[in-house]
Amino acid sequence: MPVSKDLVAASATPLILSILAQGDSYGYAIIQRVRELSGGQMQWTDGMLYPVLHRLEKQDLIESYLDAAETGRQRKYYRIKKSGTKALAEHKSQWLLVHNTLQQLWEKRPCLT
Amino acid sequence: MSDVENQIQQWKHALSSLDTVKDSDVREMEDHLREEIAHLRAAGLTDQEAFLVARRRLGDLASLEEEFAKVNASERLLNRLWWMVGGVFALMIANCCSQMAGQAATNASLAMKWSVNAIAVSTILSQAVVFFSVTAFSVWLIVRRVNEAGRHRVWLPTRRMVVTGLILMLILPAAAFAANILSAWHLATSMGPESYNRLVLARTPGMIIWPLLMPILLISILAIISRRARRRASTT
Repeated sequence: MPVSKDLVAASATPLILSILAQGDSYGYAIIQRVRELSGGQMQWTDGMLYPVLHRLEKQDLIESYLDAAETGRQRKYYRIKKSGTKALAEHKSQWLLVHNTLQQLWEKRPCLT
Repeated sequence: MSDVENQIQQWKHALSSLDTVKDSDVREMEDHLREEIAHLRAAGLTDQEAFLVARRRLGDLASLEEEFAKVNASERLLNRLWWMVGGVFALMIANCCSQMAGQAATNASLAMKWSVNAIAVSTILSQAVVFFSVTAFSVWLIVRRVNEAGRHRVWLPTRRMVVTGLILMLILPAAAFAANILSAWHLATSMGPESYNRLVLARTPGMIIWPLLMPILLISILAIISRRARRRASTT
């Protein structure tokens, strides 16, 4: 069951920040990683990733640098900044809160009547 | 060049023609497209199939343009402001031309009547100074834009805007020309040669200084805004 577009859009920032927190990366590799981890259920339109990356860069959460790729072309890599790590911690607590709330509602509760 | 290479170039061309997508964005997405194609070919697709799937995964141009517009809005606005200032200069030049012509016509006819050649020479000279200074600033501006075009994408005005601008540039100076000739003639005949002479000499410095200051002011303000925007973009 593919994840809805709204949910994909909402989770883009924490996903990108979490992937970059594990090490520097670039556009294509980030998308491949999300695809892999979600078992292909989270489908991004690949081009939409770049405006999100650039916005995070403008918000000072990540930074970019050019480096040679194995193909010989110049590639733009992204690195998380300190402020990005902080923002990620906030995202994490918010997502966990939502997750916990839903889980409590969905748990099977004994019938009292 | 192979078929797929051709298609990649076409796709790049279409992408870079979008108003909101910068050159650096195009390069980044081209790298993405090529890597996706290589990946899909390794999985057994033909060149053609790999290109089609990779292009589709990147998304259609309209939605890409919309998404990029959200992050590149300030660059686009600045780009347009630069063009507007260029338009103001062009209008000033056209206006100077019409004023020069109007003043020359009035002076020529007055000179025949009163032989006030000094007025004619001083006003035409002052207008010429203004004209050349504005031309110099405009050339500077164009050179600046051309230099920047190598680093940033330049926003080009649409055909409708160019036509409107040209019409305005024809109508406004023509109206200024007519008004100038009428008012100068009226003033000169009602004041007499000596007072008219004094009036023209008194307003000459103002006529030179204002068109000289205006481009400097406009360019300085824009340069400061651009530099701030660029500094913000490079530090983040």
